[in-house]
Amino acid sequence: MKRYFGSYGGQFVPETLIPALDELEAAYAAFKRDRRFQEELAGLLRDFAGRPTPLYLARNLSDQLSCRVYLKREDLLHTGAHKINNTLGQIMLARFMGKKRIIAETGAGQHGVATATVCALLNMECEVYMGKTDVERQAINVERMHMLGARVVPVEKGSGTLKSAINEALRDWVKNVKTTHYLIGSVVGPHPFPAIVADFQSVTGKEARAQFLKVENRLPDSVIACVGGGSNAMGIFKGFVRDTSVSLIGVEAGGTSLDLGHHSATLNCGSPGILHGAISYLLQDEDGQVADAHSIAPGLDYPGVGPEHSYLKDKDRARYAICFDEEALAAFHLLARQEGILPALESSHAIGYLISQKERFRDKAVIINLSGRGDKDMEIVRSGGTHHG
Amino acid sequence: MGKLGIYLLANYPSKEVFLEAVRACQDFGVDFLEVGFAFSDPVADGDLLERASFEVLKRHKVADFFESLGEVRRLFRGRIFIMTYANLVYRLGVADFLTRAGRIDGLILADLPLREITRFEQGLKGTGVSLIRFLTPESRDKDIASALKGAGGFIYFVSKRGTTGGGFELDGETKRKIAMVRGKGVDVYIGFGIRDRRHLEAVYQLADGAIIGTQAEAELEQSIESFKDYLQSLKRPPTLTDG
Ligand SMILES: Cc1ncc(COP(=O)(O)O)c(C=O)c1O
Repeated sequence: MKRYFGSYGGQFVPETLIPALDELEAAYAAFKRDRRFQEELAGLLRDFAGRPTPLYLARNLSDQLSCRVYLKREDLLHTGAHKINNTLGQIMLARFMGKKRIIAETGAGQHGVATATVCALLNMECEVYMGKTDVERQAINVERMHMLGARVVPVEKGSGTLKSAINEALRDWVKNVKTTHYLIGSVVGPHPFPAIVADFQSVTGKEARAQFLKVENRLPDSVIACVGGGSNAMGIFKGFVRDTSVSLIGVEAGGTSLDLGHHSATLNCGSPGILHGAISYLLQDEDGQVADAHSIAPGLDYPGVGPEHSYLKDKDRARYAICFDEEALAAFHLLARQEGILPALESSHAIGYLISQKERFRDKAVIINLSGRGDKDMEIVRSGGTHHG
Repeated sequence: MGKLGIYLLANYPSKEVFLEAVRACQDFGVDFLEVGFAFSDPVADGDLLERASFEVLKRHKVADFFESLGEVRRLFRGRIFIMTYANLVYRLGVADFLTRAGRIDGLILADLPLREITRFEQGLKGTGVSLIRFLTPESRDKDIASALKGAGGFIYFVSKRGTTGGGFELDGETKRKIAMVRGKGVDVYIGFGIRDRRHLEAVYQLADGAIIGTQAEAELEQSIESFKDYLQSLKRPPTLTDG
């Protein structure tokens, strides 16, 4: 595996972690060749998580927007989001490596829940770091993690969101690197994590491509997904990245405005920098201090982004757009009323973008990765977006 | 006796007290200083230095750290290293960063492992500034060989798996690794968790020097007097009551 995507990626972590990253990379190569483990993983994705997920033609939304909108229904997966694709993969990998203890970070709590779930399934010790702000605004997911037997460690320091949680998880990993696997939740972090997570998420893109070909007998014009760290987007992009006729569009959170500190639009507004082990676009000030991010969607509230997205952006293979808090909320309500689907606020950003650009997509066929369901966001939506710290 | 290095976070707890601490280090005969430039996401640091970094960043920009560094140079005659994280250097570019820093002996970047050094080191050629290499209890033979290749300044041997501060302990395997690096033409200094005279004695049996950070800051948080007393306590031979 290559350490860099063009000039992005790398391994900017304390030296102590380097042997563990090498071990992980070697183990992953062996894991991919291990028939028994691969079959077991495929079985779990099918019977435990509920793959394949449907590709659903949202007729009412399509009529309203005068285009054909297909939703890749990752919201129907067990635990309610795409995160389980990665956690099932990594927990099998951890078992393959003989690790007994799992740590993870979580923002929205979806990755934390998906991690706690697979740890319960494989009987592994599980600790989840979660920013204090997120613990408050995603209380139901904290309860779920507790019930699944995980320990949730609230991180009071720093921004109290995903960034602080990752800092704390990295510190834990440096201390316990011999026994512990860091089950990172997106295509971020030091190599080989971005490549491994993208690989585990690529099942979405492979399925969606085959499904779309089957019903439409052609390729879609565009594939659209929200981008926090970028795992659900990378997962679906992977299915189409070689199909140059398909435009790939990642949607970042515009928050309340594009002033630094009010949004999470890293690829749109940031510049290359080093955070959490990788060079990638980053929201930072002129000194290189990392800025706070904001989004109504806790899972998008992150000032960094996976390095492969930076690469796709600079190569012009993917385009990155913006959806603001209010547009995402409106999209949430629209999908609920029109289609009977309550989407996660993260996924609502992808829909919100499509709605705001409907002229551009007139008569086109698009796939939106509906990365998760909205149950976790009831409090935020009920309060009209004010209940999010 | 081995060499002693003290880590001080620039402008903490205030610019004045920081500079007084620098003066005290000069008076005491500290061999080198690591001047910390606070970073927003200090993943290699424990609670105390992280909290201190956040406080400094509420009041100061990097320009203030560079300015203080100039004063440090006037007050302190030993070697001076900047210790920070890769992004502050990456953001300005190595050349610009060094121009603004003025004369220093080396750069210590806590999240820059051996294999990522090359791109940073290109910018250092001909400047006489060393990019400090880390080794750790996890290091393998090939890491040790790679650290020694082209090493300047010193090799920073991290005493333990973990962040700055906390307890001090060296296991047998780590001692063996330190011995492998010793006497290869570059000094080996041990840091992370060193707090008192007893720890220093243990370190000086194995290495050329010791680096104290968290405990020095903890004393300085009390008062400049505590800090000075603390430096004295490092010199005093251990008595029975020290345990
Ligand atoms: C439903 C959902 N979608 C998207 C995201 C954002 O993550 P990523 O960009 O890695 O897909 C999250 C993160 O928590 C999420 O829960």
